[in-house]
Amino acid sequence: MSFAPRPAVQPWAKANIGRRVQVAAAIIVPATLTMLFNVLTGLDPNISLIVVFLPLQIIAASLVGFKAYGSRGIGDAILVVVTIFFSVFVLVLLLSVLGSVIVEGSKAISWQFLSQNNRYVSPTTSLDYGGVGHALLGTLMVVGLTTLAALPLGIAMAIYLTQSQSKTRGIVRTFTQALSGLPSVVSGLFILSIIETTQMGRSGFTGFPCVIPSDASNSCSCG
Amino acid sequence: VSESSLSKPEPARRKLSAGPLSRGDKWFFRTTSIAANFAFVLVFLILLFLFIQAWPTLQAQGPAFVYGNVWDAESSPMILQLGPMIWGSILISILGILIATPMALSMAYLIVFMLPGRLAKIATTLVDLLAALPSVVIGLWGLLVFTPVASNWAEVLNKYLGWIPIFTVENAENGFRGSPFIAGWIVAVMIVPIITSVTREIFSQLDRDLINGALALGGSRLSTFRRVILPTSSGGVVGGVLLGLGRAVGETVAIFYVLNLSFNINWANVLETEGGAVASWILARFGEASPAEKSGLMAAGLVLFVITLIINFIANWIVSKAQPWRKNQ
Repeated sequence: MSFAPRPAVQPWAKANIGRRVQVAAAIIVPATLTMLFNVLTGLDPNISLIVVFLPLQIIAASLVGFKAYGSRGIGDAILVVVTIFFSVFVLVLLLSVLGSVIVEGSKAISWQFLSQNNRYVSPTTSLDYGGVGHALLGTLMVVGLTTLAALPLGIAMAIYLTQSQSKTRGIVRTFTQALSGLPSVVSGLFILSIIETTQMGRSGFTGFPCVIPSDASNSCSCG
Repeated sequence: VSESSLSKPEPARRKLSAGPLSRGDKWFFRTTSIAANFAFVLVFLILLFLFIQAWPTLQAQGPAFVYGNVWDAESSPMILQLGPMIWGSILISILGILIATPMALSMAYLIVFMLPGRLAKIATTLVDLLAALPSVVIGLWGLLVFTPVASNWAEVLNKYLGWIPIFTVENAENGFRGSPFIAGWIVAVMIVPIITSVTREIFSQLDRDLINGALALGGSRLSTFRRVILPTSSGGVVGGVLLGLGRAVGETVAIFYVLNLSFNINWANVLETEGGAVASWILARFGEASPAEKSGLMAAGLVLFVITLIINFIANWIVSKAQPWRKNQ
């Protein structure tokens, strides 16, 4: 005889056809009404999204919530609608960033764009000449040097933070996180001020301090 | 036999210590603690070197460096005052926070309490992806894709809500481009992932029994959110918002692309096409600055660093107060 747990009975999960129809209506009706309103009045979609669609959606969801759970369903409905509205907004912004970069950028990507430098290229040259090869190489060099310098330091810091019992852990964590909020312009100025004060030369090597904190906090969250 | 062993008095409790024992352990511990203390050294070094470079300017300009509103590198003696830029940074950060906080809270609530497991993972990945985008990319997107859209929003706001003082515009010739409003949106896009991830972590570590209890006592989604989830997580949420604020104040390239930097101080007319941001001002001036003006920009960097440092310290303090479990890590 097996002692496997009985499948949980979820009476609330049973399909309630009437309520499903109501929810579907609450999703479809406001959108349709808004579109109709837009077509009829020629209102700017940006305005109608806020002024027409959102209130209609809230009213529709509140009606369904009220039918299902009484007056406290209204608050729930508003919470759900507002949450989804803002979240969809974030996702639209994100997909817009990704989409525009990928769509516009992929037009220019080719092997010569990735491999050549732009020594003989002016702003009016067509995309068939020149490229960002030199910049890619430079990025790789800087990132490589930075990793070499920052990785051991960051990992050692993370080990100290997570594995030791020292009393200074809290304050080290605070300082590390404060450093991870260091504006990139300030870290650049910092390195430049060292160069100016000590009269060293410029090189890719001096770019590393800005990466240590994020490295350390990444390793921290892993450890 | 067993009788006697049972009746033995319990031995005194040994004090457990987790100190390094072998020589290798000791050296390893020393190495890691040196690395850890490098965090203090780095903060100290940044302050020191920036201060050395900024001292001539700070000495010559006095306290007016922080509140004056003239930046004239050609006149002699030079007048370098940063007031509008500092206020602009604050204004843009406040706008960014106002826009980003509701979005981030909604996103975190959606991920933790509404989406089923797999979708929640996808949404988390997407938001983290947004956090990993370089600010140059966001800036280019802001300039080429978002500015036309947002200037349209700004025009609509000005048309219908122009009677509210903050939405008034004196010259609309630039088509509502380059305003703090747009820069605030760009900053919001950049800090939403930070606030979301802090808030999500706090939400997901809430005691589920507390929430189930509230629901069992007849609470609805809304009342559980307002009376149980928000009060227990408010400290962490505030800390996350402050962390976002620290990032927003220091944002450089993205704002540089979308904002029209100006030394006419813009107190709160968010749709006006002039604003300021310390970091972007440093970026804008640095290429053509004389050594004396460079010192002024170093001083600007010092002011910026001190501001972000203070905000981050407060944020971390609040977050750690709000997560008592972190102490036993």
